[in-house]
Amino acid sequence: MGRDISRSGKVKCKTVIRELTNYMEGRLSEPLQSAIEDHIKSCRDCSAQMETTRKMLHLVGDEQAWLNALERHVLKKPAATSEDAAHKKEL
Amino acid sequence: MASANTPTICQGCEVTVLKQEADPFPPEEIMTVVERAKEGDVDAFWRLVEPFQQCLYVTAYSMLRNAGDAEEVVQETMLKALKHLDQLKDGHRFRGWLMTIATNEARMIMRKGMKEVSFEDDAEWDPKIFSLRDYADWKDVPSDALERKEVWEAVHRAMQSLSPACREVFVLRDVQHFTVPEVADILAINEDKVSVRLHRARLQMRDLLAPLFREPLSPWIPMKMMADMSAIMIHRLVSCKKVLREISSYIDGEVNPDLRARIEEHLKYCRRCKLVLNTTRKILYLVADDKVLIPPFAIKGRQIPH
Repeated sequence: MGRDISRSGKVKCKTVIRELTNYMEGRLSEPLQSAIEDHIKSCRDCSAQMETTRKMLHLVGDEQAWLNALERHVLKKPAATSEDAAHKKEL
Repeated sequence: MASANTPTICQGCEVTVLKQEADPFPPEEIMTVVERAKEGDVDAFWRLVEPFQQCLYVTAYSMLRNAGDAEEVVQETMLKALKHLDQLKDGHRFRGWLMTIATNEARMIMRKGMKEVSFEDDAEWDPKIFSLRDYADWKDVPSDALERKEVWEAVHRAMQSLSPACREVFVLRDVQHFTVPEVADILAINEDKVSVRLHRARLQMRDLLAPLFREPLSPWIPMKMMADMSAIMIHRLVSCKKVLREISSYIDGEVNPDLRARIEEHLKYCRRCKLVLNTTRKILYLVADDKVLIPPFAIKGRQIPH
């Protein structure tokens, strides 16, 4: 990890893109984590990379929206599993 | 649904999400329920699995994109969970344990459909192709946009184009909000593999969903009409031709305030002119830097023809 940070504590855009997920997950070593944080604050491209990833995650990560969408587009009836449940209950 | 939906912050990415509570039981209660279920109390078992039905269904559906298959996965998972409940060592891991069974069921169905499905997908892969696009103009898409047919379709098309290995990691981490260590545990792979696959999946998903975030999400206005209208509006201000002619003066701040305002207004709406402006700026920045430009090694000593 050490070679990703220059002596002046900076990282390249390439490193930021490569480590973006690990950065967002907080899985990097402390110096790299904070070097990337500083980089993103000052680099428009990299902050756009992170923002767009966040927007995508926001879209796919809403459980309630998933349930509503499933009900609207897939299940014409409310979850069929309640019948199965009753059935299993009797077993 | 028995568990309450509480808005939480998705750990790490600070996305506010409605997350199903991972643990619908108080910690001291879950073990008693598990114990009772292990002893064959079907009511207790039902209390245990009921809150997780929907999240199992979401997981199975997003992996398989087929309602029948998803239902089969949920049913099989319930049956297997009931059968093998005595193998559950830690009651607090119940949701993850159920998810392990569900993922295996989903994998089996995927294998049935295709001759060879690899869940080991760590071949060389070049992230560069995903890093060169311009993402600066993405609009906000509310998460409930997922309920709209075209968004729903696009999300599923995008997820289906992920490799099965990346897809299951993405679903567990970013749709179901398991943590990376939990995902590693569920899929029985190490955390580094999880994060490599997750990274690929996120880059690919973002790339594939880009059109959703770029175009205005208003299907009731015909696109052509809107494009025409905006073209008329832009040209009323100042034509593209004029903007391009004046671009150097504009960058140098040499145009009069009235024209400047009109050019700026034009640039707000005209992506092509904006692109020209940005690239020109970058070139100027590159050549006008007061640093001494040293030619790359390969052209050193080469004669420049006059």
